[in-house]
Amino acid sequence: MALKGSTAILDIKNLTKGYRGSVALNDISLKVMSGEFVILVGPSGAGKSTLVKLLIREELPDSGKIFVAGRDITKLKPSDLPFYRRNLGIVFQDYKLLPNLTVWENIAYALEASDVSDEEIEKKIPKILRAVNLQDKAYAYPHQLSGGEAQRVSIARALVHDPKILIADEPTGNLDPEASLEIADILEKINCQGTVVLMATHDREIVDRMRKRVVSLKKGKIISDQQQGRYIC
Amino acid sequence: MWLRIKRIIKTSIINFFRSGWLSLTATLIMMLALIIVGVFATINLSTNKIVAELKNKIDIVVNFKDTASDAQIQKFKSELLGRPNITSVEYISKEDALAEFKSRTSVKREIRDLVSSEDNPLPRGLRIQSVDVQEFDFVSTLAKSATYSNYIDSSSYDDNKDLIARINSLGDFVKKFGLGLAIFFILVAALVVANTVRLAVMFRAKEIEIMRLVGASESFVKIPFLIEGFLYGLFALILSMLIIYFGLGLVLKFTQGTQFFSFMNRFAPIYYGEFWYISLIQFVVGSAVGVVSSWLSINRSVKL
Repeated sequence: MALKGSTAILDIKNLTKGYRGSVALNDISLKVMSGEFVILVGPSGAGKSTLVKLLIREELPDSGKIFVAGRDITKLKPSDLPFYRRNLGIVFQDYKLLPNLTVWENIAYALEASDVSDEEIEKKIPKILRAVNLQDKAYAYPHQLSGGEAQRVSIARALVHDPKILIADEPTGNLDPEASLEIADILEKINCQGTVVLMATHDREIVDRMRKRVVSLKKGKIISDQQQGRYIC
Repeated sequence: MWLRIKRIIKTSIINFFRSGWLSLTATLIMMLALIIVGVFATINLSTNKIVAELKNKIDIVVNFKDTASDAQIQKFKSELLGRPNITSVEYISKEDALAEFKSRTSVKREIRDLVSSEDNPLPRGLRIQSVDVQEFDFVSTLAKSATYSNYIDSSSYDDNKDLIARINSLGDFVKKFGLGLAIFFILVAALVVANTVRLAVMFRAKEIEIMRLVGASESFVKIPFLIEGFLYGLFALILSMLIIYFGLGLVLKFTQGTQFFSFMNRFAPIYYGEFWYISLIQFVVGSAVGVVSSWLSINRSVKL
């Protein structure tokens, strides 16, 4: 079990974001320390996805600051974004795998894009495939995978850069309960190895079972923040 | 750097071949466009050549009165030869003129019989050919100048002036019209191709988003699409070259002896003769349209 540290890996300060008159996030602040596993819950429209979009810098906030490992990412220049994203693990509900590439190539793409040498890629991928238990699917294409397998590939790709934070947006949203539990287990293991995991979900069963820090959002506000929390509507 | 280039090229080739139908459609449409480019380039070259040949056939004859001395004729000739655009000045003696007159079947025999070598009223002359029909104006002016006007009988130029002008302007019109038509069809083809490539890029907009999210830089995302655009052009070029080259051969083979054959046979030698030049035009159009339309679509439809 990784020890929760005293350094803030993620520090969100007074974040506000609106879309055409409606407020998606309303002055929220949140601090996540190294080693933590944080589950973001809330009904649709609560602001979870908006928060994820701001964290991966797909969008910019109207006001407020986001510090990731001490750096304010709202101030990043467009040319810095690829470098920022390489230090971030991102997992999506729809897996976001490149359809023309095999499992191996999908993972390799993330490494190739950041100029990792071929030798290192050859070393890293088998290791990461073992970690998500997909050694025998290395040469399969995304359309040949089940939902759970595809999501594991997506996690493997997110982990190849050894990110400090893994952000997962509804990672079990498209999966059956069994595959969902498997994904939750993998995320837990990743967290045990020291990576901060921030998972947005509305999968009540997973939340209640994991007994992690639960931050509940409603109408763009944080309504509760509990260590070993449960799903609150 | 080299590693990056190698990977970008690898990604492009993988995407091109694994996109299957998408690449095939774009390549085939590009191929149709390049066939149009090839056909119109050939037609354009052919009309240019035909017009040039026609203009070459235009000549004028300046006739000298019997009072003119040979020296004066020679002087006139050498003045003409000093002009760079005048390609040939041929002396026609009275005998030559007679022989030519006698061979004219368009003239009635009775009239032909009136003229004989003993009684030859036909004048000596100079037959002048020029690459530029405008040069005939100079010949006419010179013939009418004070130095020569007394010795020069008449110039066939004056009789044929309208005809020459008409052939000349018709030639220019055919050339311009051919070029305009070729450019028009090439543009239409380019638009169709650009739209197909645009659809192909838009179809893959989601992939571009994924590439960005896993940390690929702008060039790492964009350049493979440009290379794919180039590959559409390249494969389309090869296909269109094969189709026109062998297709034309087959058409000629199966239409031998027909009217259509003689029509096609005007173009075939020009296509085969200028094969590499026409292919180069096709290559430039194909790769430029492929790359530029990929570039525009990726910039327009994708927010990086």
